[in-house]
Amino acid sequence: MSRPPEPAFSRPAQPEMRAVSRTDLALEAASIGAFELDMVTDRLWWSDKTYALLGFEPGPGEPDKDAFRARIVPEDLAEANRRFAEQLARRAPHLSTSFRYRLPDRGERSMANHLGLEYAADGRPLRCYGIVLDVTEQVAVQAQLKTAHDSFRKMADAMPQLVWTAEDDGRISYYNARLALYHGDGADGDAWAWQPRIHPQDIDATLAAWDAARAAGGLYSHEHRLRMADGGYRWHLSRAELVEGADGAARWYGTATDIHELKLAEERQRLLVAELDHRVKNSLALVQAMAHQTFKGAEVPAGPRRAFSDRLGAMAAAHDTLTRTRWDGAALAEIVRESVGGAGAAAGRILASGPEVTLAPMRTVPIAMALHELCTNAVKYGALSTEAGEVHVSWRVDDAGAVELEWREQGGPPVAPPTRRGFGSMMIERAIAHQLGGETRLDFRADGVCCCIRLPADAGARP
Amino acid sequence: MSAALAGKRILVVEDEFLISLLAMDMLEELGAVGVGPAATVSEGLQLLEADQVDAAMLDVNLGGTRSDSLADALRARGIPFMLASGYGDAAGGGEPVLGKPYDLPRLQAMLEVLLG
Repeated sequence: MSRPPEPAFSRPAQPEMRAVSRTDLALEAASIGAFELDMVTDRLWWSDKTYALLGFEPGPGEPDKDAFRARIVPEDLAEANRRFAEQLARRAPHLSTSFRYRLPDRGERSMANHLGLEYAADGRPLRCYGIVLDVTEQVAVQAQLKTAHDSFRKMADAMPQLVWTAEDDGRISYYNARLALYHGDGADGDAWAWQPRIHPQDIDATLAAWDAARAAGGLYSHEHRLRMADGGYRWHLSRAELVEGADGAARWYGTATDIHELKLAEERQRLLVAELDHRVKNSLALVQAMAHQTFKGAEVPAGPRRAFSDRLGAMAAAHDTLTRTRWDGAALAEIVRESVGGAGAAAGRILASGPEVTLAPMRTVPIAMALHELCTNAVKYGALSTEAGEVHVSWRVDDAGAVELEWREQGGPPVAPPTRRGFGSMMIERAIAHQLGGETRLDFRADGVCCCIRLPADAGARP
Repeated sequence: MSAALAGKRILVVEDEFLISLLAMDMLEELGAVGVGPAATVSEGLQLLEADQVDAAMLDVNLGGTRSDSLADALRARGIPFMLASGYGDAAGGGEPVLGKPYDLPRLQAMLEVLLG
C-alpha cells in the first residue's frame, strides 16, 4: 500500500523506534486514533485506527477532509471550527472537542478529540496533532444518568411530602423542593438543619425516637409539629428507613407528611365522642330521675325501682366501656368486669378467664345487659347469695371465629327453675338471639345456674 | 340507711332539676340530709355561706359553665366533695367522680369515704 510520507514526528530516527511502536500499540489497543495536520502545508495524516474509527479506507493520497467533514453533524462542525479558530487566535496550546459523526454503516456516533497546537515564534500556527476516540457509549451512559437524576428530582418534587435523605449522623444531604414551604428567608440560620424546625415541646420525644431508630438501625417513625415558613406549626408524620447504598454507606431516606388536618379531625372526634357520651349518660340519668319520681308517686316498691335503676346503670357502664375504646369495640374481659359491678363485695367470687376477645360495639350492650341480669340473679338467689358460692365465667373462640361464653355457678343453694320468665331471662335468652343472631342456653341446674351464650363470628370483629 | 351518714348535711349542686331531686331523695334514703339543691355556682356559694355543710355533690357542668370556682370554695373551706359527671373522666383536683346515672351503693360508699 502506497501512503504519503508520514510527518516527521511519527517517522522517528532509529533509537526511538521501539518507544514509538509501544505508543502505537497502546493507541491501537485503546481504540484511539492519531492524526496530525501540518498547518503550513495543510497536509493531513491519519493513523490506521483513525481511518477505521472515522469509517474510511486508507488510500494512496491524503485523507479526504471534505468527506470527513461532511459526516460531522453540521452544527457540531460549526461549533468545533469556531472553537478551533478561537484557540488559534489566543495561541492556545490545547483543544478538546466532541462532535456527532455519522458513519454510513453504524449510524450516529459520538467522537471526542484532544489536540495540541504548535506555533512559530511570530505566532503563526505550525502544527496540530492529537487523538480521536469514539465515546458513544460513555455519552449514552451519561445521558441516561442525567435523565435518571432529572426524573428522580421531578418525582421527588411532585411528592406531597417533604422528601429528604440524611447521613447516618442525621445531617441532611437532600431535600426536595417542598423545603420552600418550611424555609422562610433563611430565618433558621442553616436552612438544612431539621432540629430547629421541631416544636420545642416535641423535640425531646423526637430525639428519643430518632436515637432509638438509629440504635435499632431500621425504621424511624414519629409524629411531631414542624414549623412552617410562616412561623406556624403543623403536625407531621416523619418516617425514614436506613438503606445501604451502592457505595456501602448507609443513609436515611425519609419523608415528612403533613397530617395536621387529620390530627385536628382526630381531636374533634375525641371531643365529639366525649360529648356524645356525656349526653347519653345525662339522658340516662334523666330517665332514672323521671322514673324515680313516677314510681315514688305510684308507690312502686323499692325492689323494682332498684332493679330499674341498676339496669340503667349497667347500660351506662357498657357505654362507658365503649367510650373508653372510642367505639372501636370493647374487650370481653372488661365487659364482664363492668357488668358484675352490682355484685358488690361478692364480685371477688366471680372468676373470669378466657383469651383476648374484642366485641364489636353493637354487641357490647346486649352482652353487658345479659351479664348484669345473670349477676343480679346470682346475688339474689344463686351462688352469690351465700358466703361460699362462686361463679366461673369463661369464654373461648372456636375455629369458625364464634365466641362461646359460659356462666357457671357453684356452691350456692339448690336451684329451682323460676315459675315465670321475667325481664332478666328475657334479656339473657331472647335479646341475644334477636339482636345478635346468637344462641343462649339457660339451665337452672340444681347444683347451680349454667348459661351458655354462643355468638357467631362477627364479620367486622377483630381477633 | 347508713349509720355513718345519718344526719350528715350534703350540699347538692346540679342544674338538671329532676336529677337534683333524685340526688336529694337518694341522700334521704341513705339517712343523710340534702342541702339545696343549687342549680348555679352562686346559689351553691350562698348555701355554703348560710348553711352548715359536711360534704357536697358537685356537678362539673352547670348549664354550660364549669363549676370550678365552687370546687375551689369547697376546698378552701376544707369540705370534702365528689364530682358528678356524665363525662367518663372529669378533670378535677383528685376528688372522686360519681358517674351518671347515679348508683346508690356507689354514692353511699363515696360519701362514707369522704366523711370517714
